[in-house]
Amino acid sequence: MANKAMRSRWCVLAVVLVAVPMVCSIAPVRGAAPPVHHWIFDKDHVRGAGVKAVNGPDGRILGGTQLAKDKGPGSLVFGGRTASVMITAKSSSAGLPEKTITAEAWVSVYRPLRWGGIVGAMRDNGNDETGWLLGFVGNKFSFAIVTEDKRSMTYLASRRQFTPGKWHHVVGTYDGKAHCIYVDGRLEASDTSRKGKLLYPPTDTFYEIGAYHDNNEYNRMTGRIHEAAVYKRPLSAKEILARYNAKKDKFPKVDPKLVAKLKNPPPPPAPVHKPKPRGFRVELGPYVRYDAAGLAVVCWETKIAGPSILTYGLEGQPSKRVTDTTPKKAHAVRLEGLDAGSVYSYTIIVGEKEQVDGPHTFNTTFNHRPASIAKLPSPWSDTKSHKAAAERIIRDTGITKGYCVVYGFGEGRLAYELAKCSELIIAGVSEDASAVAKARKLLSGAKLYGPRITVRHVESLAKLPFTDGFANLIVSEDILAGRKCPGSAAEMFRVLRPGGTAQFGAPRGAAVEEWFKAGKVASVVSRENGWWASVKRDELPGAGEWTHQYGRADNTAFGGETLGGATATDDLHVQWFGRPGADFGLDRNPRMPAPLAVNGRLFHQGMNRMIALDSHNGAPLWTLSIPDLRRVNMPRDASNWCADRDNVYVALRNACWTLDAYTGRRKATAQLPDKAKRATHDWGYVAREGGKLYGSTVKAGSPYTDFWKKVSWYDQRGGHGTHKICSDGLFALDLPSGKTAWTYSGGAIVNTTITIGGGKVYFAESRDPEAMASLSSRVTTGKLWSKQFLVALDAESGSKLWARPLDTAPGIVVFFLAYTDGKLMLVSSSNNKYDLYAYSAADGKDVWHAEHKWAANNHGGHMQHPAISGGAIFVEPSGYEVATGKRLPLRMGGRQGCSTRAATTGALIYRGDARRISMWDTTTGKTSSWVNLRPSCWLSVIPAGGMVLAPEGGAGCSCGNWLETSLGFAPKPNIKKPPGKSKGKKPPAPAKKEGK
Amino acid sequence: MTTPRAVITIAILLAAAAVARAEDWPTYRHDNRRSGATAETLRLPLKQVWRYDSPSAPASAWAGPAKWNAYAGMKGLKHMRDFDLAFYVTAAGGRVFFGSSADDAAHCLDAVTGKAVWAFHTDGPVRLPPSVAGGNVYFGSDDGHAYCVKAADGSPVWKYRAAPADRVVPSNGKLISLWPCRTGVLVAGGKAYFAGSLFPWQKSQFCGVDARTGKDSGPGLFKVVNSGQAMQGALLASDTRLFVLQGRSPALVFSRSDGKVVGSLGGGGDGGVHALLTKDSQLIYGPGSKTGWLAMQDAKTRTRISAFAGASRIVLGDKTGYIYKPGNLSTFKFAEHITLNKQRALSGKLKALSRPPKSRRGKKETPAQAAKRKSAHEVVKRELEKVAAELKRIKQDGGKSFNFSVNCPLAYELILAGETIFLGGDSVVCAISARDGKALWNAPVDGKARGLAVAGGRLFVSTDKGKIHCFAAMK
Repeated sequence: MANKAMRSRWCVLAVVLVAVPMVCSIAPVRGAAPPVHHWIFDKDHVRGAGVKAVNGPDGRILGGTQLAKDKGPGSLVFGGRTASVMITAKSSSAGLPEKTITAEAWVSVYRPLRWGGIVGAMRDNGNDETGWLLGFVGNKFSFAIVTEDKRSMTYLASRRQFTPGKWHHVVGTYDGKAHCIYVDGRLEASDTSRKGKLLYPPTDTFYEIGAYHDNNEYNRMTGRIHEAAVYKRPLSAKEILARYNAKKDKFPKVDPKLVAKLKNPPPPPAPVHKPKPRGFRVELGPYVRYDAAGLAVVCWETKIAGPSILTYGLEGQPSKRVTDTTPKKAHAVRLEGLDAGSVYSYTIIVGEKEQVDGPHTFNTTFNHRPASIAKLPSPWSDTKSHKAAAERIIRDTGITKGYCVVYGFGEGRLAYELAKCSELIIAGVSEDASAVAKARKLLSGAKLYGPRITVRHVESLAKLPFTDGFANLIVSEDILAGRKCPGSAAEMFRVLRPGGTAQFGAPRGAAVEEWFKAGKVASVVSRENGWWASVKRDELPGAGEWTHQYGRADNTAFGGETLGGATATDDLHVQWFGRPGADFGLDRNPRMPAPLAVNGRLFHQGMNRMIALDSHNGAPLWTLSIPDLRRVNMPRDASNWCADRDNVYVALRNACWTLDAYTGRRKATAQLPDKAKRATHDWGYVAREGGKLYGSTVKAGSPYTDFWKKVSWYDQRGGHGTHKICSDGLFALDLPSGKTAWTYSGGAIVNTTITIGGGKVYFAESRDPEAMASLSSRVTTGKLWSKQFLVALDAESGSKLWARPLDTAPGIVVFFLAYTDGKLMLVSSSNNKYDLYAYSAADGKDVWHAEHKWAANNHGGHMQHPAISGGAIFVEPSGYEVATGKRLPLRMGGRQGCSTRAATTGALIYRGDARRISMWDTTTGKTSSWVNLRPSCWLSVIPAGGMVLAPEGGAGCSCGNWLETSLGFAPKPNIKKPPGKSKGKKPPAPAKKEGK
Repeated sequence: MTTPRAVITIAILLAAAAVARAEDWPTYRHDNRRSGATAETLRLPLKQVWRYDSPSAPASAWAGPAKWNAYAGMKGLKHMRDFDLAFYVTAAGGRVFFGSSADDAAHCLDAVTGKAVWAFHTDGPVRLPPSVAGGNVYFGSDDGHAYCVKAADGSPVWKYRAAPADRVVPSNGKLISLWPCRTGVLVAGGKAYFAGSLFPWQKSQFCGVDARTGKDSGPGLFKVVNSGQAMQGALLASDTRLFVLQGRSPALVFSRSDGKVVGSLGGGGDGGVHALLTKDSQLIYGPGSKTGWLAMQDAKTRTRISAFAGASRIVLGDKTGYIYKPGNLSTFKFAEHITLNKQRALSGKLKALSRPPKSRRGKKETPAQAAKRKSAHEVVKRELEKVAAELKRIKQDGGKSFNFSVNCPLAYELILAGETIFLGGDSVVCAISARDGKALWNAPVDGKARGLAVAGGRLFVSTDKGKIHCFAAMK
């Protein structure tokens, strides 16, 4: 980004008029060499989009512009948005002046700009400042140069302001020593701080007329240009005056009407978003799942049964064609023998006309399924009893993924059999060093040691080096063999993950029972087919869930997490780390949907793909690659997914898929209730609450999906990127039947306000006809803020409970609604401030209103989502009591960087100190952070399941240092601050049993 | 007449033998400066004599780089922590050694047959190749320990906990220490150096121990605990300094005598784990956090000398430097390059000192300040004269420097063996003349050839699929 702050340091505004004649008369007049580049914008030189130069290279008109039609010398009209004249994008080939220069123009500027350009070739990017520019800074003309003595741009501005709409003769000169600007024949300012040759960029930049254009800024002027010229010599003051006098009377005088109009310009018409038409698409999908190492299955559905045909190959080489002639509607084509770490493309071919859907891509780097060892021969001749035991353990527990600890490894037979019939990563521990060495040798010889099975020697099984609560499954070959019970049941239980199971089969049941008792671990004994004891660990007390974009469907950015009393980063330690890494994501830039975490699982979206991880140990459970998945700009739209304890619900085009949370398999597909809308609409909002799946309809192609360049950072304060996605219908489906429970339509429903809490569904909608008639659900009209209502529906029946007109400050930047403790909290941001409104959820009546200024108008400072916890609502930089609106005597920990906040009972998690992931203790006001760890530009770090979960979301920033890995943090044992000390909510009632 | 002729012939033969002598490749990229260059010359063409197939491919510590910086519209970001994408080998005394991130062991193979001689298992992935010195083999493991075993049979000599604490967590399908030893073990001057380090918010431990005993007390031995570091990738050493790479952060310089931090090399955007140290202690490393460069830093002044934009590998010959950029291999005159950059920097300094500094807030230079400046000006002027003379000498000293630029297929690794350059590419390894860039030989390999080593008359190629190919001269 251009470093504007630095720029001002070099901006020379002061003019020493006494010195002026002396300084500028130094420049000798070396004859009357004509300009090397010269353009006149009149009918003799402008033909269509071409500009024929008087001297030098011709120009090309970019965008829509035309010659002025009034009297006076011909001129080109620049509209300020789309028009400029490009001489060349390769400035190095233009023959630009090197030692001395004059840039001259006849110009009428209609609208001042912070940084405006008339003619020049420059770059102004902080540490890359090069070239020159005749332009204007605000309402003063300027001539900026960079010379070899210093790599910074000196903006020499005129002393007087220009008159918008008036024709001016503007000339900038540099003779190697003195740098001058003249307006209307008069010297306006000069400077002698620059010396030497002009310094140009090492690579090309744009040589352009009517624009301030480098590689990251493009400001086009509003006004007219009659003539522009560039000389390789400095014109003398006398020459400049003569040139001014020669033409000054030819231009029409300033029109007072025009000036008045320019002072009070009519608001530009709101751009209308036109959704891009989709080409041919199959009825559902396609998507790719990974069923085994080296295997991808491409799935899709068609309206009519037909053969399954697709072409595929390494990206750019779709050389293989698969055809399965069996007619079907649900297609699943297995692609085997794929290379690891490779990008493949595929295209689906449908029907006799061979309509194509694609090409799409998938990347086998994200196939995390472990290699099967089923076909590797056993190193033992007989493991029947171990095989039976392994199968029983898998059958009883249903655990097939994650980490398994063999507590008392024995020879490794049980580990081998378990690995064979599951995808478990098996880590054995043993106190017998020689047995470990023997097992390693044996398993290595059989090519079984390493990725699936390892074993380590420990001094004592009663003291393992492992972190707490990570193992999904714990078994023991020693106990199975009837040997002495190893270590202690308490230590075994310590490393068992919440929701995990330890299961021991034993011929000596009594001894094992004693072992459990001694460790104070309560086990369940089964005597069916032998003696088996098992123990399942409960969920951590005070653990929360993050099932929706902002925690729960109530949008509080709080999922009930107490974090065991942890309120600072030092209270937590790394529980696991690893993939997904930087390569998984889209970029940190476009404010993607937040991850979800519930029932011991963590779900995260990347570049058109999603992954499920075990939230206690980071083990990948499944990955899907879905071309239609992407949705961005969460501050202006609802998320595309939510989860419950067993399922993930994902809105994709006009449907919502129900995915099994443990396997990733698609279990069901919900359609939009209104059949007529299925061809024209997408599924917008999605939530899961109290036996229902909630959804909304948005016009197809409306949600934001662009992620490229700064414009897709969505940090704007108005206009593009801030337009809200609004639904034209809301509905609920009964689960599991999928039958429509109710539908609602009544206005343009702002998706970021749809909130569920206390048995009601709330939202803000505009009933303005213009807002409702918008071509796209990305509503660009300002009418969205008129005829607005806050509406409450009964969540069960959909019946309207109340509606009240809204007269809030328009939420130009963001407009959020949340529910907490019987209140609705509406946050609107625009015009340098946040407005907070509290309404009674029972009847919509006003409770309180407060406002405060933005802490910053960029990097998310103006678009923070509220975080509500412990009876307080926090919107940077202030907090208020939810009940009264009383401002809390605090100032939130300083945010650096563009993310928003998530709450626990005692802290807010956000991007703070040095742009790192940070925690702000809501009681003490202290901030702490993790060095070199960054989140995404919105919300990628969530507190849930008793942990802080930080799936990688910050990658793409080429500024270095960031660790670019996923992590799970768990509270350290014995945190001094007991849970509940902070003023947060009480922990929620323990949820049901944890998942596998 | 016969006698002198015979003497000359014998002398030539001896010289040739000396040039073609078999050497070891006892540590990652041959030596502790990670030069990737050996004096040994292989007689081409080569043929594959054996191939070792690991049951599993390497399991790298870190995922690949981001696809792009979408905000800045920048594509082609580079991997800054790719130190373990293949089972890199070291070789000495007829043995080949490598560490495995798949089965957590250090392995020894017979260099002639490729047969396994021994394997030493640890409790975590062994990500960097072992160093061989004094009949012992040294390596680090993700279990947080450094190990020394006998090269002959893999029996343990010592084990040292590099991790400041015992804490094991799940990571990418393994259970590893929170302070894995991912620096490998560098052996120099009878000492072994390594670190236990991972996340900068936790303390890292940097160790210099007796290479023979593993003890950390005594002159020049140390165990230093620091915060804010993420030490990873093969260490480098000069006579007095140790250079520690940090992946996505700039490299660090430590004193060899006491392990204390001297400072960092580079600034924002610098980093990476591919590095080499020149004889004059310039550290060339990258690829940095953007689209790839190798930055050259002066280790003494800790200032940047230059950057080779787009370069992914550099290897230095006697007078000629070889630089690989995707699709192209070219030469440059290394000494001249350094001296020219030195001259450029001094000229700037001289220019700045030639006039009073721009007055700040109206304050003018005092006579004392002027005198000081003029004195500094004189010093720089003299330095510049010396550099000019040096440059003249370098230019006059024709020596044996080569000059070429040739198109090359995609390459992941570049080494120099005598006057032959070996490039590891996509399913191929090839040899190019270091004199003129002419293609001399190539052979297929299974996977991306990320690791190359030449020792004992053999070329070893390690690929991302966990294969190690051994090539030797055709009889």
